[in-house]
Amino acid sequence: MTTGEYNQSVDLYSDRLYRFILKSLNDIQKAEDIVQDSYEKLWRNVENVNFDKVRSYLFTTAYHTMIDRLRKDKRSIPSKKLPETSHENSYSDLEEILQEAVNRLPDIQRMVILLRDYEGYSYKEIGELTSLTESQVKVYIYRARIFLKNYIGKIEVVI
Amino acid sequence: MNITRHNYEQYFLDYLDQNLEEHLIDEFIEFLRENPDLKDELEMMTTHTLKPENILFRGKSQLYKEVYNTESEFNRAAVARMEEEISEKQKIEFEKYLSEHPEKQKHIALFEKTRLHPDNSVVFRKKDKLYQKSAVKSFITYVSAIAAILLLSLLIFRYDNYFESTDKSDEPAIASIEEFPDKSEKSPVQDNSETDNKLSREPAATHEQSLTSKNSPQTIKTTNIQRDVPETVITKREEVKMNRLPGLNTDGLFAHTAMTKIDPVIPETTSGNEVLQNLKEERLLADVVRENTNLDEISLNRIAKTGLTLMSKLSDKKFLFETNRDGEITEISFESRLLAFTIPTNRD
Repeated sequence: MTTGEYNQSVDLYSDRLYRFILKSLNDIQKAEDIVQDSYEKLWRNVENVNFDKVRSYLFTTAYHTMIDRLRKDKRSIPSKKLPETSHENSYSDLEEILQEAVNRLPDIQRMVILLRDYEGYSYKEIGELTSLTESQVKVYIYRARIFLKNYIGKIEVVI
Repeated sequence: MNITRHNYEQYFLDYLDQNLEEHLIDEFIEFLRENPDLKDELEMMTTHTLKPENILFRGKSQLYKEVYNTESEFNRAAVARMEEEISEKQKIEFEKYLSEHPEKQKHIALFEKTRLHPDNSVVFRKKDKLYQKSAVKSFITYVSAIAAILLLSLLIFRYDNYFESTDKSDEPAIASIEEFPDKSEKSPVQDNSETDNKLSREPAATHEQSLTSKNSPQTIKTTNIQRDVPETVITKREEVKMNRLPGLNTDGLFAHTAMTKIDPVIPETTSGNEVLQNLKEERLLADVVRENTNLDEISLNRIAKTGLTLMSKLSDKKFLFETNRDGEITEISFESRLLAFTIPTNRD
């Protein structure tokens, strides 16, 4: 990959990568750090990465970095997260309810469903990115959807 | 014989059901021949066999259980349909099921709502840090930055020197300019009388000398000012004096002074106040630059350090330098992914 292609990948994927990480971790500082780390790794391997594979490379790197950080965080003091909207019964729209529900998903389920919905990756591709089997991915997405559906359903009933 | 009039019923039933064992059939026929009354009874039993009617249960369909009636199967099919991971056959069956069970549509709607949409307003703000430049471009950028900084430093140095020199020489000149309108405001009668007295008492030959001696401090000031703008002020002053000596042939007296001092470098329309104002503005600008850059004491070492400090900031501390106890630069170093070098300046 050339320097021009690398810079093009910044234009194309840095925002999307940032969104994925931010929604996975809910931490602006960490999200920015991981985006920068991912692109630094890409730049170090710029000669070995094909431009066609750069998106997968970035998301794979970011996913594994997030998993590592989450494991470290669980062993240490929890870091500051974005303030969760404590709406209880005052949700303004579906997006907020859905975001609240997504935040309550287990980490891996959240990341997998974000990859599915935000990036439109297939089960197989998600499996390759996350080092999970295709059937594991299916189960995670299935469970995530059921959880989200039930959560939305309950809130709608309350409203 | 086993068949008797006391146990014949079970043999009759077995016979009618065609379950009578073969070795008993001959014995059974012999028994009927010996008991013709029981043969009639057997015929009667044969005609009373019940046959089932063809009656169907109409509510049978309501009793069937479909696979999607279980919650797990319904959810599985709904998610698979949403994820487009369902086979065509299953999809048709499931959609048929949904059409027959409209109450299930609300669950489908809820599943559709679980689809996440990226928020495009969320963008990565630090893209500038991610972009990479080629080695040639980086080199050109750094060289350009160094050239620009050195040029700027040189300009600041020159301006500073200029204003330092003009500050020292301009102070009396500015004082005389400030005095100038006051003198012109004096009553012309008094002025004329003073001049008249001196001029009338001294011969013409000494007039020039006396005026020169009288104006000697002014002349000293003028020599300093001649290089720059206040020339006009002096010129005007001379003109005023000439005008204030009516009746005298002042051409000879002031011709030399006027000829040597009037230099039309500055337009005649430029007034002393305008010049003064321009000077003040320029001095103010110089002061600002000097204050902001701490360049009170300019030296080549200081220019270099200022330039290198700016370089260090611009290059995100990739460009660094070291100094000795005297503050002289001893080493310049640069480190990036592509290039790293250190240049000693032979000053330990």
